[in-house]
Amino acid sequence: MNVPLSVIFAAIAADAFLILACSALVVATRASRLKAERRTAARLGPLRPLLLEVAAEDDPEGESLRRLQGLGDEDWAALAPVAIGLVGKVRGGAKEALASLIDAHGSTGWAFRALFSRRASERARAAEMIGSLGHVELAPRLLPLLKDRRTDVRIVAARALGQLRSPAAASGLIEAAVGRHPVPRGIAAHALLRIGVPACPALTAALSSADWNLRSLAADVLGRIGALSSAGELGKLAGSDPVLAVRVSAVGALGRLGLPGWTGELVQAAGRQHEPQLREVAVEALGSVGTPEAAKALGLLMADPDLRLGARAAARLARLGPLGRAVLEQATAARKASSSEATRAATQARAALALAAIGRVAR
Amino acid sequence: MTAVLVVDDDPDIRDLVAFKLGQAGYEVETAADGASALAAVAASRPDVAVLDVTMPGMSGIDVCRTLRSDPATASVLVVMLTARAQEGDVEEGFGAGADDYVVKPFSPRELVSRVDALLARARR
Repeated sequence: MNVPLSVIFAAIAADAFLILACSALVVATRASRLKAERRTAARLGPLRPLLLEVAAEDDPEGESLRRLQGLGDEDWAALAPVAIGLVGKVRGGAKEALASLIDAHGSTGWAFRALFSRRASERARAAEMIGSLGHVELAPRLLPLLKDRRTDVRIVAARALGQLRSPAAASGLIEAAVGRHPVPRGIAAHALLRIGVPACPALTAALSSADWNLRSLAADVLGRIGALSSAGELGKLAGSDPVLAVRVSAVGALGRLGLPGWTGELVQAAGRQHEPQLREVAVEALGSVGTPEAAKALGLLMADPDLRLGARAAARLARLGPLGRAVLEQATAARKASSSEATRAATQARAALALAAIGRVAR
Repeated sequence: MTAVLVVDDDPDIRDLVAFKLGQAGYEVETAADGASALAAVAASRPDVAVLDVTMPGMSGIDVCRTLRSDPATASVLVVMLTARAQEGDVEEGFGAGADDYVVKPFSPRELVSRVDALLARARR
């Protein structure tokens, strides 16, 4: 089919016009953005030193703070992102001074209203601001956002609750780790860790949850917090929970607590009848406890047919100091005619001692 | 004058720490990443380096290890300033040779006290 030349030229001209128009739009948008950035930078220039004085607590008379509190809307719009960014990264007097500046410009009121915004970005910004400002009284307002339909909003809300360190948020954070719209487990765990000891009652209660995910999460976090009073509950889970992941978390937690009284449970968990994953965590935990009984158990584990586990036991002994070294050296004394188990232990011990001699302890 | 190098990829934190240390009487230089930090140390040999841990490219831990591995820079005092607060993170920081470890959110005033104390101990 022959297409008339005039049609081809018209199509080329239309394409060229479209390309030119798009290019002009891109250039105009960039130029406009650049102009806005320059305007913001120009406004920010003289204000930034005042903000640094406030944030550095080098404003004894409060003069800089007063000047910044009296800024007009346009100047504040330029300074607000810097002030809000800084307030979450400092504490003490610096945080109080920045928070009073942000409050003076009504940003807290905005954040409170924006928690209910239809726009996810505003809900997230509001939650972040409340967390950064340390408005612990607003923690209950953040809890519904843990079930927000948007993952990013749920994550920001969980982080903000961690920043606020509100014990009242602990149960909500634990529950939020499961369900149709969950908060990622690591984010929930980190927030609970930031709350720390005040979160322990809620975490201990979660050890008897019907949901194994929650039992496992609670055991992990209690171990990291160092909640010694939960050792009894953790010991029960380590020995008898029907779900492997929960037993692994409980054994890991007992290791982090480092209580010598639970060495027997850890030795039991390292037994050959158990899954490799549980045994590995038990070996680490025995190394953390570091009692003579734990060292003796690690010495026996060096002879395990699972060579990776044996190597791990030897490495943990090498990190135990004189006590572990003595066990390793004793194992190297095995003679050629010894049993295969003693030979395996001797090989693992020699490897660990050799690594230790060149300053490299396997982890 | 005692010189401090402040290394952080966050310009707000970098400026705040530099401002506070400058007000406390230190001569302050800044860098935005690990490679620039090593260049600054080689050029001006600061007494103290305040290092952020999480930076693009070389981390503060990498910078600290590099400083410690070179006899010419091994004596630079290192303070880690980081949001990484887990037990393992702190262990890694000290394992790399850091002299002190400050966790964000931090108090600028306390940071100056720690730098003061570190220098006082080193001069004993």
